[in-house]
Amino acid sequence: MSKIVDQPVLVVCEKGNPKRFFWIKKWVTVKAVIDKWNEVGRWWEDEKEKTFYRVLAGEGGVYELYLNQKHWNLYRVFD
Amino acid sequence: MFLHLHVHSPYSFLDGASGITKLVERAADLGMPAIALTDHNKLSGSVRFIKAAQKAGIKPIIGCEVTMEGGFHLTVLCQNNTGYRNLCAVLTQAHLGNERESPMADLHTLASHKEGLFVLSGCRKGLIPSLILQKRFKEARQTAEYYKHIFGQESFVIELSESLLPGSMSLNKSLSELAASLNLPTVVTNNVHYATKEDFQIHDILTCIRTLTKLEDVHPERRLNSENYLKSSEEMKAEYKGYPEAFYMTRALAEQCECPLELRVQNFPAFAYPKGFKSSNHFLRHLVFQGAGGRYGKITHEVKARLEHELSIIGQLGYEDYFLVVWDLVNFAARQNIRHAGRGSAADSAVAYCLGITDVDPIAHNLLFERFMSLERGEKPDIDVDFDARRRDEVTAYVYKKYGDAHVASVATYNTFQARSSVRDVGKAMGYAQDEIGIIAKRLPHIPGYQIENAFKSLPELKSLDIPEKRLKTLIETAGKLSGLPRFLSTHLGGVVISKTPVTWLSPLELSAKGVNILQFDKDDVEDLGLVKIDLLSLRTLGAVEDSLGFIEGTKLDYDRIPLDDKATFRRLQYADTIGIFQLESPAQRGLQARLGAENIEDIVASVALIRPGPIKGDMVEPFIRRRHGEEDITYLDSRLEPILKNTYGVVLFQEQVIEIASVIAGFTPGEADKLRRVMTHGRSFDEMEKIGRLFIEKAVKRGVTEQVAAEIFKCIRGYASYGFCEAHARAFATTAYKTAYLIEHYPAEFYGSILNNQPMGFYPVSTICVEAKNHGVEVLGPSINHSGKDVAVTGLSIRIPFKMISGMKQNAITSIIRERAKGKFKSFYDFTRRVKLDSDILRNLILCGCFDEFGISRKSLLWQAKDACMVADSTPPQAEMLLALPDPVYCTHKAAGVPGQMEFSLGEKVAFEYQILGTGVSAHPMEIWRGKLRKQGFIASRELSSIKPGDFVKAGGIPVRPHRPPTKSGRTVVFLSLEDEYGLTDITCFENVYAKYGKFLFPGKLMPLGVWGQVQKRGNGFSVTAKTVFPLSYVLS
Repeated sequence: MSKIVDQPVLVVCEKGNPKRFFWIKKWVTVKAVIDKWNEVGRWWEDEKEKTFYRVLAGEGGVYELYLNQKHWNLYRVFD
Repeated sequence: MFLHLHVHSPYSFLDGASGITKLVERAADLGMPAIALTDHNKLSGSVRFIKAAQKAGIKPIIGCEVTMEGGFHLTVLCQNNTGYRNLCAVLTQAHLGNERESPMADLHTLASHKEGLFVLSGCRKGLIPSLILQKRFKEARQTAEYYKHIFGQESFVIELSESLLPGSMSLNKSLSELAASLNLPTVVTNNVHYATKEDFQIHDILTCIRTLTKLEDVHPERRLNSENYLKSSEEMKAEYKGYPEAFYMTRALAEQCECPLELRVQNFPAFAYPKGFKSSNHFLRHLVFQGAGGRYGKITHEVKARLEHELSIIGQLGYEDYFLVVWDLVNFAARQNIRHAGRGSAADSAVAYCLGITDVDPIAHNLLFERFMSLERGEKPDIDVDFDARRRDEVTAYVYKKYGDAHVASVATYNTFQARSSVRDVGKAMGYAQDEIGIIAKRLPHIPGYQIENAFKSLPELKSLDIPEKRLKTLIETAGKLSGLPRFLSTHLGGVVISKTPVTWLSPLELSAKGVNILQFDKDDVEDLGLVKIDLLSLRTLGAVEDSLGFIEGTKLDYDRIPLDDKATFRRLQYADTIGIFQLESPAQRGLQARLGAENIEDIVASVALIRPGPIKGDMVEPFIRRRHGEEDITYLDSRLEPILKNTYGVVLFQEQVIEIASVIAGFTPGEADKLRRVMTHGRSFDEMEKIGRLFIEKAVKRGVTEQVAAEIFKCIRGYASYGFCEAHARAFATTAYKTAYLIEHYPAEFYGSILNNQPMGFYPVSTICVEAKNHGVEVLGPSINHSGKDVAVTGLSIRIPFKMISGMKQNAITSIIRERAKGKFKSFYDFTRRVKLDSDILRNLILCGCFDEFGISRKSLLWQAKDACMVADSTPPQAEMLLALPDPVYCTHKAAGVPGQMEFSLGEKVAFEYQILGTGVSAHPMEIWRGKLRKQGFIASRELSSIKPGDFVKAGGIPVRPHRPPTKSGRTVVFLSLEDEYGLTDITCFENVYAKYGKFLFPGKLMPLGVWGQVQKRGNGFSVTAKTVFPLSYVLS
């Protein structure tokens, strides 16, 4: 199961990859980037390409974050 | 340094968005030492790719992304020529062994042709990656082991092909581990589909076109991101930093691949000459001098010298076999009574004339052989022969039989995106309504895609489109970017190659839509491959001639001996009564004929050459006519020009004259002179023209011509730029033009009937031909269920419209009708529907175009009966209901109400249906119905135009025929069109200001009868109207 969140979050990066992000009043540490991909979106409506990260958090949870230009969003949380 | 081993070009057809040159140049700019081409199941891009890579100084590697059985992909690279031949064999099996356009290679075929090939595991659509993505690791390993076994450890390579897609990180890791565990090499690729990231949008549009989806739709074939571009080494290293060995192997693999093709190595077969001759040269000489005896009677010194000269050049260039092969084909056609005619520059050759390939005597007309062939140019001569369109395939079949299927194939042609097709396809992908796209596309002239933006800026009919600016801008820009990209592969009109080696050593074969095996290369590429193309062209005019001769009863007409000085025929030309005549029927030609007053075949030769973009833009038409009539002095800038230009009154008209002027005045070698002709006739760049102009003047001055005169002469021949005919070609066409004029003059029913029988042909639609026939005393009878045949029937002075002209008619339906009728005529509509079962839409069309009128029941009533008949026949009520879904009549205002009984359609409705179904009115001409109303409003009919005083203003109306904007000497846009009414055509000229105002009516994108108010012009024997205003006739008729 997963839940679409799609809300802006604060992310701290290291060497281009997310290192931790702030979610529900606490910092979530990224243990590993499990997967990474780009999505182009509706380019004909001037939508920009996003980079998605599926990450494994230190507490064991799996999250999807995306970087849209300079803005980070938490896209999905896996149960 | 990294390099790309998996690259798609536009020859992946709708799956590659950047041109080959762009891809290669980008690779070179990025410092890559080599680049591979791996299109889907085709090698079509190979020749251009090799040339581009060699020009850019990098190594071309040829390969292919092969679709295997089950739809899985493998990337295959050629190590050498053996590998290339093997790849051709694999692809041929993949194409010919499966449904057309669904090629699938057999794994065992690939394995048995593995020599000289590297096989890579492929992209995500490869079997191994696909199994890994499904987490079927054991099967993936087994497959890899099997591939290793059949292809060999050195030749099977694991490909890490994509990053930045969901699952790529783990996929690449698994592939790498698998390779390590099986001791297989690994390479890195990027499955490139376009050169730069920005080109992704074009690729996405192409994918929508390929998958018939809209941008808003979701489709698995559409790429998730724009990462499949030609990335730099640095970018690739950053993405695959955990795989250094794979980078090393990528380079190592490329080093083991060499360019597998050597271009331009001749591959023409030797002609099997009969016993008793020492060589093909010996046999050719024999045939030529034998033919000369027949052509000339006595072989004079002049004839002998000319033939020896030509034979010497043919021999030195080694083209004896080529001439013999063409002679053999023409000889076959003659034996089978297949009408044929040589065309093009081959008519400059006395050898071709003596072999019976052409019918123009180049010695009598002083035609220059060097325009056709020269030692300096050293190029293969191009002999084009037209055959009766319906029998051309018999000649092709003969070639296959004679040289063997393995050595003959048809040449392909790459259909590329042009303005109209780009707009249609991009419009669909962008979600434009069908009607909207139709109107935009039809208003666009037939121009290359790169001119779209300019057309929308400059053409009034496009500026007046009611589409939001931003939406239209996106459409125009995107459509423009598709310009020139290949859309699909199809069969060249008549090009076949005959090869010494099996053709599949050079190209894979595939099945064309026409059902013939075609190469994957076009006419230019096959020449680079060393193959010699022979053009077996089809000309419908020859079919019409053949039909006419068949229709002519009584004393058989000997077409080859038609007298070339028939006064009645020339009188017809002098009055510009030329609709239906080959090459002389366009409005521009009719305008010329009305002023030229042709009196002999030379005038027709000049006519054919005059109405071309070159002479028109070079302002040669008017001086020619004035000088022809002695109204202007004929002067020459240099006395040496007189013998060259005397026959054309001092006007440069033919390509041969350009070559001779360059030789005589500037001392150009044949090669230099031919270069000059090419620069001028192919609209080359300004720089090239300037360069050759300087050379001309420089060399002319050295030969004693003053600089001023040399510059003036060059200006004259430069005026000829863009396009003109060679004299030989004009002569070949002029003979056919004259003979068709003779046929139409003396056998009008037979020839008009033949034109209808060979549609589509000529400049005009069926309706215009029917109007012309009627106006020349020929009755055009409507289709009849008991009297029509498959083809046109001619009886006395009447023509019967055949079943094949009925829209939607199918061959099997025609056969059923005729077969059943042979048992006894149909007695009633009921009798017909009982005996012949047809699709409801065909039956509907038969009724609406009057096929059953002879039974005396109204068409409307028959439609109701047909509904019942079809319900019985098809047992499918919904189909029968479709019968009542009548189209909106084009020319009447009230709809055909669905009322049963004996009521009949109005005349307007009947004619509207006939127009839709037959392309012409049979019950009446639409303008005939409106004539009374039009007359009351002061409109004149076409036949009254000649009685109006030139300069007077008139109103004319009709159905617009062929509006077009030909090149003009002033460079301004002038629209010419004709308005068709029941008596013929009124020619209309619209100058730029009128066009700017009324362009949307002139090019409405749909059928729209027009009215014109303008001034009558008389030029020679011809009348026309110069429009001041243009309006839809519905404005005045409603």
